[in-house]
Amino acid sequence: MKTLVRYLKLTGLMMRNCLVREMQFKANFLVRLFTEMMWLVMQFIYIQVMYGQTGDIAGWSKWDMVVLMGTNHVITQLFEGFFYDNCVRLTDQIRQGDLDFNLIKPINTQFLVSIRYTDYASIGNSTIGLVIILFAMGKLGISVSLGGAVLFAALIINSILIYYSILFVLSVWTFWIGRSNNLLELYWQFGQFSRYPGEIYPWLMRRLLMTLMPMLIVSNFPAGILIHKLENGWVFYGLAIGLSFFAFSIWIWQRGLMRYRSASS
Amino acid sequence: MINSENSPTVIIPRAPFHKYWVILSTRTQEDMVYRANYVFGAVFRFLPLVTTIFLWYAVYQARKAGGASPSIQGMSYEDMVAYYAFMYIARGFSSVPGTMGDISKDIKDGLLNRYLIKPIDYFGYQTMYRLAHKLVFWYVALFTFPPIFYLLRHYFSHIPTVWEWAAFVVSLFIAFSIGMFFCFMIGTLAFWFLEISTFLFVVMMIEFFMSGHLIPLNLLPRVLQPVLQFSPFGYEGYWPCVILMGKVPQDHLFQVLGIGFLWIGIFYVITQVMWKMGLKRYSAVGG
Amino acid sequence: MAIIEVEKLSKIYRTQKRLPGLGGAVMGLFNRQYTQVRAVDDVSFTIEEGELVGFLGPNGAGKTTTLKMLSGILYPTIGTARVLGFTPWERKNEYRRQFALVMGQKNQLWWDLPAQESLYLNKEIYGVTDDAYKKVLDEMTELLQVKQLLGIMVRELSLGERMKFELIASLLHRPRVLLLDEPTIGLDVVAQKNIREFIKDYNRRTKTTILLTSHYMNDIQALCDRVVVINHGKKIFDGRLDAVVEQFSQSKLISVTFKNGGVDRAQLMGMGEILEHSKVKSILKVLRDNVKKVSNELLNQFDVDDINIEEVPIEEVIEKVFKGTKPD
Repeated sequence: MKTLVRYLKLTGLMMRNCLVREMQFKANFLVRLFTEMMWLVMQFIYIQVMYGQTGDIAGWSKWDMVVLMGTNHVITQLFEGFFYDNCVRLTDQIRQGDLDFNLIKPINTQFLVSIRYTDYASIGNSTIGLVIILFAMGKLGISVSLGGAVLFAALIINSILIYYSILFVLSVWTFWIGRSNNLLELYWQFGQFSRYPGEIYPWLMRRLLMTLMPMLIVSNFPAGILIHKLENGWVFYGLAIGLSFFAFSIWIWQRGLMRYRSASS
Repeated sequence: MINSENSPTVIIPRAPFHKYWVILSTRTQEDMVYRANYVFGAVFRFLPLVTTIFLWYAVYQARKAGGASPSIQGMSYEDMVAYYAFMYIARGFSSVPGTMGDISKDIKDGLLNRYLIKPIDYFGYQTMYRLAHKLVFWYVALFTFPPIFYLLRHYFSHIPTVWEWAAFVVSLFIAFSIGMFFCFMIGTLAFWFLEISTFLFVVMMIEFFMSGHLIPLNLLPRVLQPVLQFSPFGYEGYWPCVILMGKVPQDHLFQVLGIGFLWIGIFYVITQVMWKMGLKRYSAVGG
Repeated sequence: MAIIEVEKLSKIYRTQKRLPGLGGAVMGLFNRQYTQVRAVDDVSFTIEEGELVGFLGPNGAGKTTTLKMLSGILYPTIGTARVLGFTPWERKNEYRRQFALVMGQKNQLWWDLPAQESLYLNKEIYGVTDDAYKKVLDEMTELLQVKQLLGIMVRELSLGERMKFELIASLLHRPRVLLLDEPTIGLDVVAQKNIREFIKDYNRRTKTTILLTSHYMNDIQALCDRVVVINHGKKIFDGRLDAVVEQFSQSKLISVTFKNGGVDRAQLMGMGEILEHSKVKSILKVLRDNVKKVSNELLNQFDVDDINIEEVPIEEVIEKVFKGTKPD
């Protein structure tokens, strides 16, 4: 318990330092907000175009799809805000042998490299996703119980954990490959799969996207809880996958460190 | 860490092609060393196509079930997938990432002086530089595109006529030109505005959308069609694709390409004017 | 029990041999060849509490690699090491709380923050209490005369000032072992002197065990009684600094001044290597065994005003040792 408090305190401290740092530069907060909104508008137009041709895609109505879009936005923005930059930096640090000071501190090194930088613009942007979700749910005329909201929140955190684990492993892969910037692009490529309902994919692919590359768990599950397309039992499965991925990230990090070559003086 | 102490230095070429060879061989060497990475990146670039394939299948299936016609705005399901596949080719010509930013940065940082005192044309230099990049891109693509397109062959129902092939090639040239000139145009705004990186980003998003990369232009609301069909951005993606797919009637081909060249001309003139005006301001301010 | 015990420590790297050119790269796809680099080769030593030991060696000798293994940053290929009873590369928090590492020209402080904030972050990471933190901070900033710079952004500090803060940051938690890797590199002469004095004083006062690597002779001479010389990954000497010369230099220098008109060069032939000669003063390099004989000869044959017998300067000795040539 004491360790947990300590780690939370350190997280808070580093986040505060980041905030202070960001405030020194021009407030591109609004700029980021604007550009993200543009992107969301484009996505919405895409949805609108598709639903202009038909009222139902694989059992999902237009506003179901919008809930999915909003959920995806919340998750990706929160993930990118907390972890994406850190993963990118990690690949550089590994490649350049710059991890030394992280390794000598008496706190978990994986924690330290994962939490160091926070992107407040992204985190702020995630609230737009929430607004979109609420709006779409209004259009659908459905509400969610407290229990449902709790499950939703748990799945959101789980999704962030999955993204984190995947990207972290891709970053750690730099220990073996020397250069890994291409692999991080996989985040953008694979992220496509989380944008749309899992029902559009054939059986084998769906299984794949719920296990090895759990892109469906990432967005479909939390959205599914809200629009009552997901039975509660699946939540445990989703959490199990999240935790396994996380455990794997820890394991591969330890293996990677054994290959660490510090930068020469 | 892997030492790369053996990468050759790029020598100033006497013949222009020598530079390309060095770049090609360097790039190939680098790519070979990190070969696992390289394979991943090249293949996974096409991953979004997978989503497209299944998503639109669901759409068309739903339409079929509802009794609607099997074609949307003249495009069947196969056409839709073909469109997105061909978009990779078109964007491989029109997309020159970083050019706008580089130009505005050169102007902002006063690095332009380097080019102004030399007897070379700045735009000529930029074009050559981007062409070299494109050459490398297509060299790599020569290995990755054919297998993917072979896998997708069932979606390519239309055999283009000779005219359509010719028009396609020309449209790719137009795509590259418009892509480059648009970058020049917007980049020169840096002469007047200090912080344009946000503006660049917004402009690029608009360009992206209006090129038809996200959604085929003919699927967008009828109200917007005149603007979209005549806009220069359509030539960066939409037109090459639909030309190759045979969606443009032969007598229309010349008109379409003609407008494309018109836009190149317009951009060229605007760029020249802005460049001259900008240089005047640049030297007046002292760089 | 010794504070630091190192036994047969080795770090061997396997790197891929790359042949140049496109043809070479293609070959590399099919037939990969590797070479072995022995960064640290079978090094053993022990260090007791409170010692201030210097690691001397040219660039690439393996001193930094050794230090990094003792910090737990690198895993050794062969061998063992125990610091404060811990195996460093297990990276137990208990161990990491008790040692500190400072690397010259490398920052652990946050670039865009005032120095104070960075130090505070370190305090929290190491779990230093508020009282202890205040005490140490006041003490150190006073000693190093950087108190007035606490509010300045790290990126705006000079190299010397940054180095001082790096030292403070590393000492907040009162480590029992301090590892310093080229701490004075890149600093101006005054800053170098300040840092050296601080380190020596800190060691004397707190009895913190300090291990210092450097390729500057001045650092070692000023700070260390004991020096470990490393070259090509191997330990070639471990003992007192003045003993280095005795072991590696086979000659001594005899400098002699003459009276009454002086002595010709020719007259000194056969006595030793003439390094310097003027009518009134000569410096001869003579093999150790011959020093007594030559001195007597000089005193007997010539009108000697003054005669001095000195060691070959340590820098010369070390330089020759590093170059791999046996100094004469």
